Amino acid sequence: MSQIFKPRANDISRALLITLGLLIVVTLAAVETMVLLPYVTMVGMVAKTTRAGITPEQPLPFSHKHHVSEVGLDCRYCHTSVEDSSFAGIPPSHTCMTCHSQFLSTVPMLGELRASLTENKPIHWKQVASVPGYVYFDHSIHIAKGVGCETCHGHIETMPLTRQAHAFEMEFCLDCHRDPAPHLRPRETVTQMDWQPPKNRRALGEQLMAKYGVKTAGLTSCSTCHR
Amino acid sequence: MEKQRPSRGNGKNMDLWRGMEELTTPAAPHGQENEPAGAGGPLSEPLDRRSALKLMGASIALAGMTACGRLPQESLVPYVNRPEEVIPGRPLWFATTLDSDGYGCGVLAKSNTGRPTFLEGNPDHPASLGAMDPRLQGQVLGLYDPDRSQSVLAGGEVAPWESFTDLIRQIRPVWEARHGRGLALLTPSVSSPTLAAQIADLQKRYAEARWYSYDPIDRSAAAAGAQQVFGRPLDTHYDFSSARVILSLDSDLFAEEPGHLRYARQLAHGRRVTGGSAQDMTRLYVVESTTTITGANADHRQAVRASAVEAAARGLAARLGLSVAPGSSTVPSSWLDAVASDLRRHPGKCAVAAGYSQPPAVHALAQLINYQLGAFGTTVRHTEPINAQGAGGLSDLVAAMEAGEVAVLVMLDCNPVYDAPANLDFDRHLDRVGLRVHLGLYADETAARSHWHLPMAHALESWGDARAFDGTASLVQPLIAPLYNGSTPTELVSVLAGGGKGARGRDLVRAQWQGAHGAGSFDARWRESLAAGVVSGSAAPLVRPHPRTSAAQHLSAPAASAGGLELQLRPDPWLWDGRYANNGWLQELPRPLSKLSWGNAALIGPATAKSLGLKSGDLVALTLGDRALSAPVWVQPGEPRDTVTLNLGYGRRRAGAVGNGIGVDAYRLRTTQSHWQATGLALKREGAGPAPISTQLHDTMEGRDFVRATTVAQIRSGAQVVPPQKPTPSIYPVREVEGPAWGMVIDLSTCIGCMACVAACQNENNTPVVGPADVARSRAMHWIRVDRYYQGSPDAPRTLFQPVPCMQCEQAPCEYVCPVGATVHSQDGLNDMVYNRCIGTRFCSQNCPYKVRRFNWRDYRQAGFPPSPEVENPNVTVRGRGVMEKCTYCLQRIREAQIRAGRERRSLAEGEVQTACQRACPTRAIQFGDLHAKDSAVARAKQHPLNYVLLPELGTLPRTSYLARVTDPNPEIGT
Repeated sequence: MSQIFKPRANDISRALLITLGLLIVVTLAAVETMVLLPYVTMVGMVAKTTRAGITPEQPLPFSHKHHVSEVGLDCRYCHTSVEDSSFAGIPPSHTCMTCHSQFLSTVPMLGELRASLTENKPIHWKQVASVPGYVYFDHSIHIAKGVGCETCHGHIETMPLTRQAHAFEMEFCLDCHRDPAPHLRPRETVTQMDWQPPKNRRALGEQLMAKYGVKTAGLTSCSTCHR
Repeated sequence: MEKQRPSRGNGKNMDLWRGMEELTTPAAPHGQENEPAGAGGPLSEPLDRRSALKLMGASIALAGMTACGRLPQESLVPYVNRPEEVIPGRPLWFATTLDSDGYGCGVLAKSNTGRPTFLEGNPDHPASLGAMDPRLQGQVLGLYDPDRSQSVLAGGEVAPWESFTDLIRQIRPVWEARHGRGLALLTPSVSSPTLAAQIADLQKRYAEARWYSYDPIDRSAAAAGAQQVFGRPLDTHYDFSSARVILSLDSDLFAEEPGHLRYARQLAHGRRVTGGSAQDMTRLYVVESTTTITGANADHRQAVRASAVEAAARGLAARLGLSVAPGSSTVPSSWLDAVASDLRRHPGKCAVAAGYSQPPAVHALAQLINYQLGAFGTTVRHTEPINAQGAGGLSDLVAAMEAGEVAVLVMLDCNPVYDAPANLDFDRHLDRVGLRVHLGLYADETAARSHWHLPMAHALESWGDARAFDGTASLVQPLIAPLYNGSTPTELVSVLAGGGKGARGRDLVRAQWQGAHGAGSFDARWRESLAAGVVSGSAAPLVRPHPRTSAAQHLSAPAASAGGLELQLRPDPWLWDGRYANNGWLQELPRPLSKLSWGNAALIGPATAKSLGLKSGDLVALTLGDRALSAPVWVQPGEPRDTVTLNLGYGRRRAGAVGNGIGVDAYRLRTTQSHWQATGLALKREGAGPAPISTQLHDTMEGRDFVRATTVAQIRSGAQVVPPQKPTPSIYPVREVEGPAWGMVIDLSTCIGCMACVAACQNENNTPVVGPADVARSRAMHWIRVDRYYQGSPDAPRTLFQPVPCMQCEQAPCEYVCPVGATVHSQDGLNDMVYNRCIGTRFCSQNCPYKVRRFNWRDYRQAGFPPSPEVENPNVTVRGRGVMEKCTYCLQRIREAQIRAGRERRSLAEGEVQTACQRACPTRAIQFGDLHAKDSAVARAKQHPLNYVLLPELGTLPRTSYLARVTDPNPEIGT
């Protein structure tokens, strides 16, 4: 085989190596800056890639603020499978119509909903809170172990239009998987949006961990969430 | 063997080999053998500088860019009105029935929000007992096959269903007036009580209409044999649960007979070594004419030509006191003596089974021997024929077509243009039929020659019913609405009989069972049958026939054995008669013994190959009378002398994108006289062709000592099978394991090498099909493989199977070499593979001593054979290109069970987690569970004296271990 690279390639490769070195330094610096930005501030590149704080435009202007804090619906009225399944469940159009067949039954805002029912066409909601495809998140086990809805979804009762409250980066999950105690609450208060943690939340959490059988061993294994 | 390969590794106790290549070539160059699976890239040509730089640049850019993507915006689409039983995210299971070689077999089908994705056996169904075979498993992929027929074709043009029903409405008055004269129906044997009743009704309505049936893999010889002995055609099935001695006369009992899954379970029951003691085992003798897994599992096997089996049966019958004319047998006399005396020692606890490819005389002899040995009613059982058949066969139909008696031919779920015997010239005679209608899953060879082709509904889209080998009926229920507006045979027959297309399959089946059950408690019984997957108490009543006293004398004299080469035709283990030819899973799954994949070959024994000067890959012309076929040769150890075996089902012309043109069409050599075998075959070497694709030398583990085998007698004599294994010092720290520790034990005594585990794993874990070119490069992706080893002479080798999944080493060599931590240990001892971290260095595969890692050389999901994203398990990540993968112990099932237990606030129960391979295994050879639970079956098995791990000297501490194979050869025969 003929020679692939001419001697000049040595100079080029040296130059490349130096550039590469500089690039690494610059990248590391950039990453450091990004990590230092608290991701809850939802600005800049982090928000772009993690979608934290992003409010997708929905086919219907559904307001969690109205339905949760003003009407006072429990999360499970609509998200029915949250205790039984990996998937919390998006309410079928029929669930909405339990009220809206009586109430606001003619407003133009809900035209899409009525059309869904009459034409038997499902509503295509944009997914707000999403994790990458290789993460197998299961709602039911988190509810069973006393992780509140608010812990991940934020104060949804204050959102007129729903946005992703946190950046679901691995660090966010691992914070709790490494040390669940300060994140747990009594199971019966899981859906309570105004639940106030006691002064010594860690003590309560440790008590709950014992009660609910939360074992930290294995919680940080890769295959707990990735398979 | 003159040139035995020097044994390598240590602790070798047997001279094992995997393929003829290992015996003929001294040893592959070391470095080449040590390549990780599939190495040898597509860039075989030299690279110029420009391309090298382009590729380097592209790789850097791609490596850097892939991580910068923003998560795609996905939609959530709820139901408009959610069905009550559907909980999104949780699968539903339905009991239904699939066709297993002409009989019903109960399965449980998993539905993920309306999408059937996985099949497993129905434990309550007598033909399955919870087990699966690859042909059944593949049917779920067949459902989504994009090559399935998608519309009605009238003269090759797409037409609406109504145009066909209108046509029938116009013809029907003619049928009414002429009592159906000219109407002919061609079906396979019918196991559905509803369809059989409908056809009977149709014949009542149109008295002159004719029903013909044809099965390419027919079992008519058994019926003819029963006719000779009992004066009526009875079906025979077996109960091996109490059998101590089984003799198979060319019967592939554990892979091809109706009820094979049940037989395998019963055999395993008699051969499982429980505890340390060596109890007597069910002994299996096999006289066979090709290599089958039944023969591979025999304690004593004799390979003889197909035409010589009858002589062996006669010899045996004579030794057991029946007055038959003995033939000249090629089976040694001492062997027959020993078998006869062993049978005689176990009256009522033995069985002799004859294979469907043997002539009626062999079946008659088997019946007579069984009667003589008092096996009737205990191990051998008889029922009236289970399947309904037409008054005539395919020859009768062709005769009628030739005489111009067939005006309308309706072909239901059959493909005679492809699979009819060549001498019938079915294709040509079709021209004489005025109107040809074909109902089938595919627009196949027969559809192309029909005026009307109608798409058939897949079994997972249909309502129906079927009888199992013992007559037990079960219902077929749909899991999904027909994808392509297909119709079932029952719906079509109701159209012929005067119903519209509107007659729904469900109503037809309900009406049938309403008649059977009576109206009273019908609804309750219907629901119970649907839920359980069997109609309780529907097994056919057993009959206790008595052979006619003179039956033995009336057997026709044994045919003089002709010399020369003999051709033998057999169904393909996976494609069967060719109906599954377009199924990528089945095409790619290695055949149990030859390990051939993507194609068939003329199987020739080593001695015959030597005398003919042939080697694997040679192209030969096979000539039988005036028919010729050119086929590649595969030298298959254990094939009898002077026999060429060809598998049917290949060489399809209109199977679909996957199956077209794969292999050679053996039907071209098949005639009505030589249905299964023919003498006078001429073979001529045409030259060297491309070698058939076989996986037998893939993923070799350096020829070390892997399979351990012993005999009952050796155990009794105190011989040590498994030397005590000292703990190996390790530089790595010992891991502390809290909670469950998952482990697996595979019992080699009961593993029959049927490949059901491989097929089930592929279904469960979204394992891609890589296609023939990549299998040839050792890139097949099956997470569990079944290694097949031979021992002894190539002409009569002993065969040993060893399933090899990931060993889940506690000190896993793969983990230490991964530069990105993509393979790491989980708390419960699993060797996790983190796909999203993997950058594809393949170091792990290189460092794996067991060669169980598989690499995605391409984006196989795009190149799929066929691409079927619908069948994918939503709980298993679909791996992209450049990612390593391997067996996970069905991690998704473990986590799902743990979450379920956590939700229900309890601990995991023993046996709650079952891996896909374990669940599918017909013999329950695979045990899986928590090693920390001291009472678990797997923890007990680990204490078994025959338990051993592979390569203990490496200190990898595998979690998967094996129980050494134990056989029980007859001391009178010797080994």
